[in-house]
Amino acid sequence: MKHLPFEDWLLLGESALTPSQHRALAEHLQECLQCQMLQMGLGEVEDLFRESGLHDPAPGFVERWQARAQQDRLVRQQWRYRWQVGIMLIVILNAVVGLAVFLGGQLFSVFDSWVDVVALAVYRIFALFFALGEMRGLFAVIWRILGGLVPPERWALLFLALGLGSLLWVGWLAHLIKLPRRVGS
Amino acid sequence: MEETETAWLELARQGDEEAFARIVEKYQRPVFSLCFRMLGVAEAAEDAAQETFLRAYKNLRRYDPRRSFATWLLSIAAHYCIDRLRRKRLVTVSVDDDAYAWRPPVDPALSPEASLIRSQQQERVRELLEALPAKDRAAVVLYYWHDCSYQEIAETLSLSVSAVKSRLFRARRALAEAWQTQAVGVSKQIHSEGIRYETPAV
Repeated sequence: MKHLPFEDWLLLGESALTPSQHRALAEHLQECLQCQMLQMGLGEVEDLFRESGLHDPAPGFVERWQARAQQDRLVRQQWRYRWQVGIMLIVILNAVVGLAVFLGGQLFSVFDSWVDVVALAVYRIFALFFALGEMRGLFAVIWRILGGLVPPERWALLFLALGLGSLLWVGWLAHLIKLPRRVGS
Repeated sequence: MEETETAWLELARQGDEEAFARIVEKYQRPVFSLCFRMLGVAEAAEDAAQETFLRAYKNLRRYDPRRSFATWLLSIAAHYCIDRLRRKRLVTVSVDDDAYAWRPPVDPALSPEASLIRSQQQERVRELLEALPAKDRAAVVLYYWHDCSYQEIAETLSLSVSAVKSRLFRARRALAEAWQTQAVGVSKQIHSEGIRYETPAV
């Protein structure tokens, strides 16, 4: 028996058929068991689908979505921060390497050998230590003068006030960080 | 589209998460249902539906208000589920794996008998849909459960209308054959159980 057009008609859906195709299909179905089975199977599948309907998610779906959105925002912020830090480090590294190459080139154009460069470096280090020692002496003199002007208990009070101020500042910063960031209209 | 929905979308587009939460509330059912029919597991469907709304929220600027928002949302959900099914095929999953075990959502309003019948019905639907490739499955779900036209399915799945018709045609044949296979399996089971019950009486 020839099934091909009838099977196709069944699978296309009867609404797509012309009245004459409808009649031909009905006649064919009366004598063809295979097409009857196909029609019945498809009809029952469609009935099952219609009966099974739509499903609701578990209660609290919106709240869970909000929590997920917040989590996602935090993760994206962390990524953005890491990217910024990474890019900054790369820029700094490039600057340092570029500067080293540039200064190195300048240095070697002035000096004839490595010995001269090392000798200059040692001299500069000693000069730096000497300057630091001089500065220490200078600060000691300033400290003695200030100590004479302001009594010790006032110094203690001043440092206490500075410490408390710093604590308050750190606390305020922590509070600002915890505040939710929203881009509102 | 309703005026309130348009207003919520506009607010959400400006970054108002509360406004988008209302959109989530409105569309949670169709999106979850699509994911549930596609993936067959309530937990995976929940995760996919959540991800769908998150992607929609993040890409809200790309949404064209001249198009239906529901179609756009279902499109995100369908593509996510299709990708997920394709990825899942590449990973070996144990049948006993708890995350993939079949657990239909429980409706507390149903009696135990009704709940059992419904659960068996859902199991049959899942088995039937599982016989279809991911994109054909999406077309079937959109056609039968979401009453989408061929044109809407084509827009949702990024296909031509003729491709949708051809996929639905192929899917209907596969479903009818799967149904017949299921029916043969059930009748064999009844027959064997009948013999088992008859044996003591003989």
